[in-house]
Amino acid sequence: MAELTDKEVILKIKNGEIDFFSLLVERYTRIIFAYVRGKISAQEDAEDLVQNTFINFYKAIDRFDISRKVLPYLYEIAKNEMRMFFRAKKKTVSLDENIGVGASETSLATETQMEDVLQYLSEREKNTLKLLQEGYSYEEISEKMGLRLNTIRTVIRRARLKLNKLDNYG
Amino acid sequence: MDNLQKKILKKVYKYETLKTLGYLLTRALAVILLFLGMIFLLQAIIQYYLASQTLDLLQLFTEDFDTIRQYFWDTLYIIYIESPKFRLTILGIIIFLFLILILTIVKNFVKIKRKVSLLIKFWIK
Repeated sequence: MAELTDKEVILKIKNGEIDFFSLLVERYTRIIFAYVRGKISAQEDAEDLVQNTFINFYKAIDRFDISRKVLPYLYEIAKNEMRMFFRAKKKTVSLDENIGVGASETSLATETQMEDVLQYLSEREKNTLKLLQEGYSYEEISEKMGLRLNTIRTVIRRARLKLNKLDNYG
Repeated sequence: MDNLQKKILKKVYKYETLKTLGYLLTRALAVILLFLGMIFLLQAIIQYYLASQTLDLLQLFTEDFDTIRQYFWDTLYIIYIESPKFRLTILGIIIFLFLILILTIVKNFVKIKRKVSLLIKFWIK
């Protein structure tokens, strides 16, 4: 069983011998895990991504062209999974989104830095940005603070401009 | 790493179990529905023929050969005219779908049987 090539293994899986998938899992889990771990430090997240990678590969196996190599295909799936992972993560940290001001992705990287720069903002700007950071939408912030949506937009824009300036000079 | 591999395989088998169950259930349901549809339509068509006494025309075939030859096309035409065409068309479509379904089931039978036995083996081990 162990001497089978990837191509033979995939043909067997396509013919319903699904237990042969364990061979591919044995062969490539370590490699894919190392690749994912290189980009994602959290062990659990990395494991989840590796699991998703193999499940997506299994789902696509009926359409898989056996002339292709398995490992690059797995890398491709893992890469997409990571892309989705980062995108989902980005959604929960709204301050990373560049809304109109084009702040660089590397700016204000840590929360400590954030605390330092927040002192240059007004109380209203601080509160607004904090709510934004907690994941509230503009509409929710406007309701929470009892201000009009456009006012919230302006406050955030001004705060971002200030932060951006500080980031450029500091 | 072994633990991760086990997790992956468990998820894969779970996915495959659901997929195979879905496949078997939809096919079984389709076979049953098409078969019942076929029986229902066939019964309705036969009743229609009996009511219109169209089938009596088939007595022609008990006659001698010359009579059969003389009236064959006429009889066939009358049967065609008196037939419930819409129901017959539906019956034809149902029979066609039924045959296609049976053929695909037969074609995939070995593969599915193998999958099912492997799935059972995995879950009861």
